[in-house]
Amino acid sequence: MSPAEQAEITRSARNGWLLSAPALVVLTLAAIGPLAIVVAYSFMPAGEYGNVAWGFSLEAWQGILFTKDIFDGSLAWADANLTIFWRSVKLSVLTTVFAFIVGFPTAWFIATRPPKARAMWLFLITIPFWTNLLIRTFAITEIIRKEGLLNTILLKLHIISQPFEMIYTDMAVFIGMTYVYLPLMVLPLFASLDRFDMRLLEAAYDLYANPWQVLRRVIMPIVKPGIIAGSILVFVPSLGAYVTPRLLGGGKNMMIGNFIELQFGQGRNWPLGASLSVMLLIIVTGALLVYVRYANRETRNGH
Amino acid sequence: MTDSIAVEARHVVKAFGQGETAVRALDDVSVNIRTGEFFTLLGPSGCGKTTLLRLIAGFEMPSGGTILLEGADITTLPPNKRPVNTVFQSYALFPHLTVAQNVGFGLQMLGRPKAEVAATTARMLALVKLEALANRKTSQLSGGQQQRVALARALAPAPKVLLLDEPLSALDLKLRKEMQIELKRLQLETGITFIFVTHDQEEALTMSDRIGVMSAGKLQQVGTPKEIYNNPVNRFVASFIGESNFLPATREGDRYRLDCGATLAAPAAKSARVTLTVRPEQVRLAPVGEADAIPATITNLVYFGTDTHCHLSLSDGTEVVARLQSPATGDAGWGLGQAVALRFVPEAIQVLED
Amino acid sequence: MATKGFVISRLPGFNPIAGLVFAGLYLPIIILVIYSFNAGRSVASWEGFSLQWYTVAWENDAVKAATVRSLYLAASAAVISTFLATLAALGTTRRKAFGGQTFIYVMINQPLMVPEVVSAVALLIFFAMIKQATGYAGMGYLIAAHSAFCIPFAYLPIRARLEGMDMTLETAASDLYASTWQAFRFVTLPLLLPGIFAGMMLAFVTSLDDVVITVFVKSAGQDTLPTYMLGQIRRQVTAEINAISTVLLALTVLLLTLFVLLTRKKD
Repeated sequence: MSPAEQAEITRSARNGWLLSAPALVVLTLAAIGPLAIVVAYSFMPAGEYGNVAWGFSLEAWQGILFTKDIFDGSLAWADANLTIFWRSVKLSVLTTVFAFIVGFPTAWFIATRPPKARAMWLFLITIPFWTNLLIRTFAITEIIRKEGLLNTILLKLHIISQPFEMIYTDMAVFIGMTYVYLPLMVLPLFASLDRFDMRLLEAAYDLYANPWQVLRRVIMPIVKPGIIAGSILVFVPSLGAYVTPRLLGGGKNMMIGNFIELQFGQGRNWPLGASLSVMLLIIVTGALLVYVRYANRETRNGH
Repeated sequence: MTDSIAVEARHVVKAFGQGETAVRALDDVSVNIRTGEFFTLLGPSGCGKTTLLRLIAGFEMPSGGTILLEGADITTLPPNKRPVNTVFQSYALFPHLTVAQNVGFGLQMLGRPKAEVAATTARMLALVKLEALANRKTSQLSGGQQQRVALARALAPAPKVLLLDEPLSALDLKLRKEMQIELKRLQLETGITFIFVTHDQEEALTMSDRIGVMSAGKLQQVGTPKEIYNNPVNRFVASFIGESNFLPATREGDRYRLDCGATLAAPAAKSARVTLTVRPEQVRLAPVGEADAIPATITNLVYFGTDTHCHLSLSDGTEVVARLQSPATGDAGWGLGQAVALRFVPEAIQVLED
Repeated sequence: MATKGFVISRLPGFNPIAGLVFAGLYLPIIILVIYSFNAGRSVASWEGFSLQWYTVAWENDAVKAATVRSLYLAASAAVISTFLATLAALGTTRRKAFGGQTFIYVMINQPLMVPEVVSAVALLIFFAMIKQATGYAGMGYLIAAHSAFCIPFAYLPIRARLEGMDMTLETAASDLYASTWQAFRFVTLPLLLPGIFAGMMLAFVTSLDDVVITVFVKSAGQDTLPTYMLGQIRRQVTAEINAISTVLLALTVLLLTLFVLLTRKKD
C-alpha cells in the first residue's frame, strides 16, 4: 500500500471518530457512564437514610433472593421478591405471546394491502407507537377502572349488578402492556412480511398446501427473524415496565421496574435497587445477544 | 493533432484489500494519452479500466506508480485541484439543483464571477442543445437529456482532459448511437482530450482515435481501431474485439501445419508452435477436392438475416465459424453434415506466438 | 367487491383479527378524546359537550408551567441531540469500515437497549452525586439526560438518509473543484436536510413523551407535562387530564405527519 493510500484510510478513520466524539461524550456522561456507578453501588452496603455507605458488601445481591432474619441472621427465600419476579416474567411472556397472536395477522393484513393503502394502515400503527405511553395507559385506565366505561356499560345493560374489579389486577397490567407494546410487535413483523415474496404462496398452493400449512411451513419460517425481533422488542420493555404496572397494577401488583423504584424511595435500599437494576440489565442484554447471534446466523445463511 | 502528451501513467499499480486477499485492479500499467485525442479504454468489466480513470480523476490514490498531467506529477493531488472533469456512469447530477445550476457548479466552486458563470453555462447548454431546459430540475429530464447535462457540466470548466466512465451504458440502443455521434462532434468542437471507458467494442471502434485494450489489470494493446482489429497482439485482444477463429498450428518452413494435418501459408513467425487466427468473415467455403483447402464438415447453420453463421468442424475436432453473406434469393446450397473445404486469404491470417 | 373468489394472500381469520386490533388500538384513544369534551367530571357518563376542561387546564398555573417546561426541554434536547447525531451519522456512514465502528454503533443505540428504569436509576444516582458536589439543581440535568436518550432517535433517520444518498454526488462535487467543506455545504447538507428535520422531529416527540427518566431525574418543582399528569392520575382523575392528553396527542400526530412527509420517497 502506498503512503497516500495509507494516509487516506487513516484520515477517514480519524474523521469518523472525531465526528462521533461529541455524541459519544454526551452518551458517556448521561447514559452509559452512570450505569457503571449502578454496578458499583450494587456492591456497597445501604446507607441509613438512603444512598449508600462506603465499603464492600454482597448483601444487595443476596437481597435479591433472600431475606436475612433480623435476630439470628439466618437466610430465607424472599417470597415477596420472588412473587414480583414471577409476576414480571409471567406477564411479559403472556404479553409477548398474545401480542404475537394478534400482531401477526395485523402485520399480514397491512403487508397485503395495495401500496397506497399500506402506507395509510402502517401510519395508523405508527401513531399509537409514538403517542405518549402515559396517555395510552391512561386511556385504558379510563375504560377498565371501577367507575370506568366498561363497568358503566355493563351495569346499564344489567349484565352485571356490581361493578367488577378489573383495575389493579394482573389482568389489567397484562391488557395494558399488550395495548401499549403491540405496535412494537407489528412494526418488525410488517418489515419482514413486506419483503415476503407473495409468489411463494402461489407456489405453495400450487403444490397442494392448505392455508394453515402455507402459514406454518412457508410464511413463518421465512419471516422468523421478524418474529424474533418483534418478540424481543415487546419482551424487553415489558420486563422493565414501570408506568403501566404503576397505573394499572396499583401498589400491590408490582413488577421489577416498580420494585426497583421502591428501593430508591420508601424502601431506602439503594444497593438493592442497584443490584436489581444490574440483574434486569443482564437479562435484557442476554436476550439482545441471543437475537444478534441469531440474526447474524440468518444473514450468513443467506436468508 | 499534436504529439504532446496530455496524460501519462507510469507503472501504475492499484491493489484493493490487503495481504493475501489483495486484488490487483491495475498491475503495472503505463500509457501515454496524447493531447486532443479521443482515447478509449476498452475491456470487460473488472479489467481495471474504470480504476485507471478514477486514479486519473483523483478519486482514489494509486498503490504505486505516477500519474502526470501535461508533464506535472498529479499522483496525490485531490480531485478538486486537478483540471480534469468526469462524466459519471450514473451522471451524478445534483438532484437539488436546476440544470443551469448543475452546469455552472464547477465554475462557481472555482470562484468565477457571476457573469462569467452565467455566460459559460448558457454557452454549454447551447452546445448540448438544452437551452430550453435551463431551469428544470434534473429529475424531470429523460435519460438522454441527463446525459447531456452531465456532459455540459463536465465541459463547462474547460478541463484539460475529460474523463467519461461508460456514459452511454444506461441509454437505449438508438439514443446510444445518437450520443456516439454527438460525443465525437463535441470532442472535435472543443478540442479537449477525451478518455472514454467502455466495454462495448463497437463503441470503441467507431469513436476512438486510439484504443487501449485492458484485461486483468494489464494494458494488452494500444493502437488505432484498425491496428487493434487487424493486428491483435494476443489471443485476448483477438477474441475480445470482433470474433475470431483460433487454429493451433506448427511451423514447417514457411508454411504451417494445422493439427488436422492440412498445411497453409501465413505470415512468418519465430516460434514453432503458434495459433493462427482468422476472422469469420475471412473464411471461404469451397466444394471438396479444391487444392490447398482444408477439409471440414458443417455442424450447424445459424441464420442472422444479412449473413449466415456456418459452424464447421475440422477432422481433429477444431471448431471454425464462417460468416457467409446470405444470398438474395433461395439457399446458399450448404447443408448440415455436408463435407466442404475451407480457404483462408493468407493476408487475413494473424499469427499469434503463444 | 366484485367477486368473492379465492384471494391468494388471504389467510382465514386474519382480516377480522386485524380489524379488532385496529379497533382495540383506537377505541380507548377515541374515547379519551371524546370525554375531554365532556361537560361532566366523570368518564362514566356523558353530560354534554363543553370545552370547560380545556379552559380549566389552560388556567391551571401548574399545567402552564409544566407545558412551557416540557416544550423548552423537548426543544433543547431535540436541537442538541440532532446536532450530535448528525455529526455522528456523518462520521459513521459512507466511509471505509474502521476500527471501533461497531463500538460507536452500540454506544449510540445503547439508550434503546437498556430498560428505561435502569437508565433512570443510573442517572438518579449520578446526578445526585453531582448535585451534592456542585449544589446546581437546574434544568441542566434533564436537558443532558433527554439529549442523550434522544440521540439514537435522531440518528436513525439521518443515517438512513445518508446511506440512501448517492456517494458519487460528492465525488462529482470534488471533481468540479469543490473543496471538502464546499462539497458538504453545497451538496451533502442540502440533500441531508430532510433527514435532519425528520430526526429532530423524532427526538422532539421522544423527549416530549418521556415519563420514567424525567420522574427520576427531575428536582422538586421541575414537573413536565407527563410527570404532572402521572401525579394527577394517581391522585384523582378529572377530565382535565383528558384535555391535556388530547392536545399532546394532536401535537404528536401533527409532528408524525410532518415526519412522514419529509421522509417519503419520491416516486
